[in-house]
Amino acid sequence: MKKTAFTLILLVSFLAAQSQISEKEKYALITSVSSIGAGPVQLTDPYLSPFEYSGFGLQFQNQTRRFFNPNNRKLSSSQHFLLDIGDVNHPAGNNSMYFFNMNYSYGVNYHFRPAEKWMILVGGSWDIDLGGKYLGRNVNNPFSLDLYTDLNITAEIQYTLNLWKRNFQLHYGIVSPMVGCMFVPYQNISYYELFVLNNTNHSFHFSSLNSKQGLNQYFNLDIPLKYNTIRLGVARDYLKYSANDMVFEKKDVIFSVGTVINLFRIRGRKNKVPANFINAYE
Amino acid sequence: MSKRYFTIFSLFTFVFLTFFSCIKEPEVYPNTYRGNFQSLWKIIDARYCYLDYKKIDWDSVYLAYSQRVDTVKDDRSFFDLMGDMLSVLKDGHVNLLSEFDTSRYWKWFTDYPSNFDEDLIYSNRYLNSNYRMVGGFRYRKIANNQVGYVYFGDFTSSFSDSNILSIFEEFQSCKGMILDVRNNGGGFLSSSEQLASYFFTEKTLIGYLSHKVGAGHSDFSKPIPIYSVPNDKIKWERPIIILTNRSSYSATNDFVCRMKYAPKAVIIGDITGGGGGMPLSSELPNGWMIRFSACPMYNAEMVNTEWGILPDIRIGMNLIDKSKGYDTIIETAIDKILNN
Repeated sequence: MKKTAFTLILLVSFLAAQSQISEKEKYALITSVSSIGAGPVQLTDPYLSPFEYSGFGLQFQNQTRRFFNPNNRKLSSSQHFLLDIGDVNHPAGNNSMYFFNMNYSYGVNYHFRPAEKWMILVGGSWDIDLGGKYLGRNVNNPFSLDLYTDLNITAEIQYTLNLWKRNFQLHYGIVSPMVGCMFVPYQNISYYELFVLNNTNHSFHFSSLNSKQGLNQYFNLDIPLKYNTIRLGVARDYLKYSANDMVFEKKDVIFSVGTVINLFRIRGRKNKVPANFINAYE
Repeated sequence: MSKRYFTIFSLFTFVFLTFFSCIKEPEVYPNTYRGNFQSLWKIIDARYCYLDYKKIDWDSVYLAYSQRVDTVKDDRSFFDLMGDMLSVLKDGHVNLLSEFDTSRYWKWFTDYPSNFDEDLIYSNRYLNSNYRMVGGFRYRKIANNQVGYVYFGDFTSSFSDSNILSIFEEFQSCKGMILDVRNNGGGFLSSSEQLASYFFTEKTLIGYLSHKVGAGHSDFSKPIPIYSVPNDKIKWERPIIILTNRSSYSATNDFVCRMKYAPKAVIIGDITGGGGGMPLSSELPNGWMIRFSACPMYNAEMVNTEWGILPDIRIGMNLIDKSKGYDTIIETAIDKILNN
């Protein structure tokens, strides 16, 4: 039994949670957005092929955000997990490549409120990415490993729109890598040499804007419904990086739909869940 | 919004526009006959590992074939022309794959005696029809049960320690073993490494591997050593004879290279076919795949293994022996085991 117990309780709405626990004390909710999306993808991996493959990708992502301190509504943390899979084709249409990617990021945001209904978030994030591409026809180089970590700058503009007595929210944001480290082996090295003979010399590179450029832009619309909120989004991701005389590129446009929910966390073994919070297992 | 926010946004945009042009775009050829020819020529020029070793003037090849590209009328004649161009490399690891054909260079074995007769292998004297078969190995005791004979024809066959143990147990009363890898065209290097591990008693340097690090014909990485590490459970410590011919190629070439350094091993037969360059693949604008030797391999004395491995006893098939139902190379191996 761990010293610190975490209990997550899903609340239907933020206001409901506040009124049920205490009228005076503020509680930091965790806003969690889970979404699925799909859209066109183009990618180039010269380790496998010199040509830009294009096709279709599917994404699942989960984002959470919460204030560090509910009494200081200027600093928040965010976490983002993304799973990306897809199938792309050679321009001549006679060969296919499969890809998958997992990305986790943790970020910190500073909140500006320049005007009523407007909020600007500026901050940074750290992310780590693990993925791969598979071109089955290739001999000895059918697989290309994607592995990198970056420090990114992030920014988001948020506008709240009152329509039909509901608060709709619009978000436009960007994420861009600044510095990091990436795995890019020589084009002519085999994975036998890399991972059986353990020769990974010149495979890990420092990355900066000189060698890695990316811009992920997203536009989301949060639509409040009677009992929950749904998010419609479109994201345009562009990533290009270069090492060992190869230039890798990935471009996609993903249309997504998801749900926005608020979570409340009660931390500590001594802090019991309030009696008016009903657990479906009891 | 205030001026301060506008300034931050402008600065951010400026930094992006400044750096976004830093990465040089690679050259991509159009999907035309000329574009495909140039793409293929460039891949070999920058990535094929034996141009200098084989003393091939690849620039003159460009001039010779560039003129002929304009005379091409359809995909098949273009494919044949590119196949001709690649045959200059004299390399069995070089293939061009299209949806209708695969180009190949086979003179590394067709220009030599085969030194192998499958009918003889399966005759009563050797495997017969009652041989055992496991993990790609066909085996039986021969020469009055004094010699174990194993035929292994494909290094893409997977096998386990228990498969090997069962073969060694079958041969435990034998004075020695013959492992026949004639007509084995190769497969996985990992299988070659695994099979060799049963015949070593200590970690032994068996060769080196390198790869290209630039577009220059001699831009290679520092060779890294390759070792054969003995299997920690199963070992064959009696005489082991490896039979080879010109069709022992690629991963089989690597296996023979390893076994040259095994303590109880003797190589008998013809020089192996070579294929010492580990192949990688790339593509042309029309989607055809090109496979080529990219990573040269060397033996422990840093001699290139591309042209094959010399046996310890070089001997070919004798036609008179063959007419009597004897495989000269197997008989030589039996004699070596029984009389040494």
